[in-house]
Amino acid sequence: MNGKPTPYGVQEAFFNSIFFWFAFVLIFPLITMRLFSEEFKLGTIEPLMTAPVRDWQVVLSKFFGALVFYIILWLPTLLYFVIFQFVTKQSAANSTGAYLGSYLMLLLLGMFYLSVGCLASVLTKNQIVAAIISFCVITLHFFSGLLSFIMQEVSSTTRQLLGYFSALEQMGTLSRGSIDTRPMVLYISMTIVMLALTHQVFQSRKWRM
Amino acid sequence: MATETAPPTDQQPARKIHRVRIGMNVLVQIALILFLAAMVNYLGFSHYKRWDLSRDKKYELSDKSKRFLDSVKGKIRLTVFFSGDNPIGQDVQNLLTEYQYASKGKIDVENIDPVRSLSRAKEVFDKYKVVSDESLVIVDYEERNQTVKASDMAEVDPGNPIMNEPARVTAFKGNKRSPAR
Repeated sequence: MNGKPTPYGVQEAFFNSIFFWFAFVLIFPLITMRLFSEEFKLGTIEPLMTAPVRDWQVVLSKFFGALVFYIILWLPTLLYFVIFQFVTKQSAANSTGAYLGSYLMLLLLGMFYLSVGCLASVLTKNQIVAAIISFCVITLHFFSGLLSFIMQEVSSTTRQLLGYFSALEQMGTLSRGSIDTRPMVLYISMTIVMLALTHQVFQSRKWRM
Repeated sequence: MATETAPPTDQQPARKIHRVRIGMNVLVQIALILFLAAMVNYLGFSHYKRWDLSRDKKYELSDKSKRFLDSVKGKIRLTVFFSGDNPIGQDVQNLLTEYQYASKGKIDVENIDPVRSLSRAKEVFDKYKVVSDESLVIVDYEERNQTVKASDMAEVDPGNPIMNEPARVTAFKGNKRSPAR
């Protein structure tokens, strides 16, 4: 930017900037911290569990509720690009595939981080503790992706392995318009694992004490 | 009195919970799902597809270079000497990543910033007997090596750094092919 022509579009610059990531990792603890912990704390879990619903139904509906809320949070960003194109009469991205890739990445990463938040929330009665746990896990995953940028000598397999888990690198490629199946497999499978763990922890209060 | 004490004695056998048994069951379930996820990710890591939907297809490899990468036996070692302020540094990194993905583990890349790690740079320069103060990539394949200078990869307009991307990609490919012959 800064008046100089750049080889990438505004859309790419938006999804890869540090401001985006900073806000991005912060919203997940905020959305998910009270999903289960508040129910435990206020005791509203008891009337909920006497209703004719199964445990997995509760877990899944909490998760999808958070996911829908998360998707609604992102919808206004589409307006940014519309306004940009309206004001500057230039296209914001280099192709439709770039929009598709970056919003797909938002959805995938959102699913994974929200399920991590669900698990953190079901572990404790205290919302703040839940927020801290999920924030720690999310930032750990995010910063582990920076490793490949720091390491100097990177062999092909190490690089691919690091790139496989690196959210930053995946966002880089997907927002450019190269759609890859690897992040899809990784994040969908990890979401299922996290939700299964949430379900087990949620169920454990029936037999633990 | 009797009616009050009766219900607990009736319920006692039904309410008995085998904690150890349930706990083991849960542990086995968790282990199974972790194992399944690991297997799925192992498969997903090695079998994947990549579609380039961008309009300019900036980093897409041509069929020719893909065929070349398939025919390669043994390792190709790339040493990248790019100082941090080089305008095409990021492009080179992205393109090399595509090469690494396409080569299925045959390409190793070492990044050396000649300004920051002088000793390692000198070591490599001595090994390949290269004298240059320009940003470059050294290609090492079957004991033969070749250098590709940054100025050959892209046409950079110094006042207004717009890259001529197609020129860079073809130059890159041409140099990649030559040491193989």
